[in-house]
Amino acid sequence: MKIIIKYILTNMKERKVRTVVMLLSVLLSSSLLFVSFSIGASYESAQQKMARGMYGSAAVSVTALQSAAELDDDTVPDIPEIKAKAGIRKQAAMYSQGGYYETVDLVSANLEQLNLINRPRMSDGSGITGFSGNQIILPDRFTSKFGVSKGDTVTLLINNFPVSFEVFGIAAYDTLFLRQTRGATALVPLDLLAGTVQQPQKYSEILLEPADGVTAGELKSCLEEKLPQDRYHVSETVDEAQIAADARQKSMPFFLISFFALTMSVFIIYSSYKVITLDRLPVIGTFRSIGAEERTVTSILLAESLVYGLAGGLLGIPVGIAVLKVILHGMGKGLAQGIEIPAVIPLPGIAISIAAAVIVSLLSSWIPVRRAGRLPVKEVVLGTVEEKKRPARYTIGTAVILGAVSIVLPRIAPEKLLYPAGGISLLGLIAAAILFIPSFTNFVARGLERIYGTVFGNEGMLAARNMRDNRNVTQNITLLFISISAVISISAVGNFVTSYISDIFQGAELEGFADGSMDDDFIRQVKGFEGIEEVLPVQVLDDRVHGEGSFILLMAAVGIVNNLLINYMQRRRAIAMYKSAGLSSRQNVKMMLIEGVSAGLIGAAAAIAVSYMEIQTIFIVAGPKISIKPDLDAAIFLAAGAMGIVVTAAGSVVPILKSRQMKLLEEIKFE
Amino acid sequence: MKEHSGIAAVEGRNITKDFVGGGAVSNVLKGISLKVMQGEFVSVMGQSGSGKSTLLYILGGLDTPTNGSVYIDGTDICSFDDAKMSRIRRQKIGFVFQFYNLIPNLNVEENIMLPLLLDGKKIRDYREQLDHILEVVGLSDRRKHTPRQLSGGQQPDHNRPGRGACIA
Repeated sequence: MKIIIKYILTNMKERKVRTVVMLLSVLLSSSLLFVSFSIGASYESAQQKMARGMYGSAAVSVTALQSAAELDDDTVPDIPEIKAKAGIRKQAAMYSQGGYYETVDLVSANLEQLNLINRPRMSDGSGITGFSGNQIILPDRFTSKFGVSKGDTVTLLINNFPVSFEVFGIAAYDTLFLRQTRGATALVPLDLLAGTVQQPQKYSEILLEPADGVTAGELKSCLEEKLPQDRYHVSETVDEAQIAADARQKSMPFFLISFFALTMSVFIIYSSYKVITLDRLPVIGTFRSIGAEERTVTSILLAESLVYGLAGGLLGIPVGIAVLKVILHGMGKGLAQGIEIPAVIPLPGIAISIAAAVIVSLLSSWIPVRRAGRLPVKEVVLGTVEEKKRPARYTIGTAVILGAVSIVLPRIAPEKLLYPAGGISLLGLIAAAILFIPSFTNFVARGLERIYGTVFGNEGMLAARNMRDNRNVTQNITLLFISISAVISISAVGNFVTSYISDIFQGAELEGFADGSMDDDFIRQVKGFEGIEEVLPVQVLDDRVHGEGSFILLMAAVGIVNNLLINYMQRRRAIAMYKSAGLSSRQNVKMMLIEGVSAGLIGAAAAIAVSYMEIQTIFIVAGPKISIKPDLDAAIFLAAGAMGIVVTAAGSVVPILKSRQMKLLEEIKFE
Repeated sequence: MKEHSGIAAVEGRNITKDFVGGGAVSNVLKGISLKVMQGEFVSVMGQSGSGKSTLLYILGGLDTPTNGSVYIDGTDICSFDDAKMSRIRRQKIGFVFQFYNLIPNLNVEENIMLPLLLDGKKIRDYREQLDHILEVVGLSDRRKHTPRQLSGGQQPDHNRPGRGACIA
């Protein structure tokens, strides 16, 4: 056992670049997956805390649907299901300073009742006594923003009338002062609003705390029976289902990115292991010739893969935690009220991320390892192993069928099965493209031979010639295609909402636009307002998604550099032969650059075609339920394509430098 | 050794080659001089490890001597830079390696013509010469085959760089 561990570690040390690339790809995938799980959990926890903060122990609220309906202390009957109730009155106001306007929602309540449900907390720790008249309590966020102190006079516009208030005290930014939208909430005495603003009801809302052992849902059902539903609306203050749905929406883009990252890891590990098993054939031959079974050889090779999976998975967690904190910090800043969203790290998320890393690593290496283990001993020992090539028509046929099924599947799948159908479709599209790329590359290379021969001379022709039936070139192209298509898909989905909103409002008379968290309740109320024709709830994706897309490019760059190095190592001999036939360094640079850029072009073209189909699938499965097709910006596709070409061109630098330093004789001698 | 007059196709003057390894210096070549005239056929023979390959690599420009000089058609190649040396390999020198060392992605024609291709020539301009060479080595019907598609015995019959240099 010790010897095997030593053998594995020695192999990993000898091929440091390859080891680092495989570790990095597993690490990045597992950290992204971990972030995907944690983002939703963190967001959900923060939203629940905020909602609880705003409403305190009140789990149910009652509002009046009609202006004729009374809403006062007698509206809600005293039933055993209710532990405490507090009526609050709300009024919108505006504060301005130096030309800047801030919304201030005034809240007044019977303080005795309010203290039972959601006691306001003063920042200096004092209590609220003698709070009356034109006095106001403002949150510390507001007072520090506008330089307001206790005892100052502030003027607010209420229904366009200026009303002055004395700042009674400054409250901590929690309890009822917490907000989910822009602006500030201020507390004023109950009598003030009653005297200032003409409202038919005494209260705007009655908050209710359920009795011990009674759930919010039970209290809500009970009140709905007792209160006429055409006059009153009873709702839960914290809509758990809505929060969970919002959290799922937030984490969906990250799961999408994780999916692409995992796909890339699979490909990187699979292609690396194809090379590893080839490299190790002499050692495998030795093992088998001294009596090692197939199973033993397979286990040893898979054990190395397990090391990559475990190490990458375990290291991915602290990396993921760091990334999560950065993303949550940005998310919090992006919210109107700028709060800090604490990181919630679900243990199942950690376990699944590590397990995924191990499974991806093992499964990706399984096929090449199994093939190598099953080779006839004689062939391995004599070095006469030949890779059986499948006829091109077989792979093209499989690719076409797979692609067709992937395109059709999400369009015919029932709604309940849309998510799995979408996942299968995306995987199928990528797999079909991977199968198709070698034939496509050969076809394009044939055409390029003629063109390059004319434009770049014989070096160009030879560069294109080298791309035909060249496994390393097709691997580079495949890696590039996966990463660029991921970036295009994610960018297009993120950008769609912006263009959709501007499109919808084109030509319309836009009276108002509200942002922030809106639930079905709010939408229903707005729809009921007079004069409202259309209400359009949209979900805006976080900008951080675009940043996460750069993870994908990082992985691609790492994978491509690795492939280019492997390509160089395997082509050393061929380069040496070219040099012995008279290839100069300048000609070599020219050929490698032409080859690199051409591979980039082909990868970009494949990515553009496949990502177009991926975007259709994503919108069918997870996009908004609208009949308008996404109007895709050509700039996204072209920019991503250009990026791919730059990556392969830049990635050619290291092999070019290495071939310049090549000791010709060392490569030619076959000791 | 026979004395020759006139410019030799290949000439080595007082070639020495030392290899340093494991702290020790081994003097593989100790002052070899020779001239090979145009049209001459010379065979270098010696015991295993005597430095035959080392001498050929130096005469062919693949390696540089520790001391001494090498002349191809009267020109000293030891001080040549990469561009000049590459041109010499394309135009003047051909190799047949022990283990074939053919370009796997190129077919028979292209492997033979490679030095000329690198010199910017077109295969079609040398069609006649190429057909002749393929006939001589018995690979006319395999001209479009890659090295993988040839049997082990057929591979060295390319003698690609040498033939290509002759054509040029």
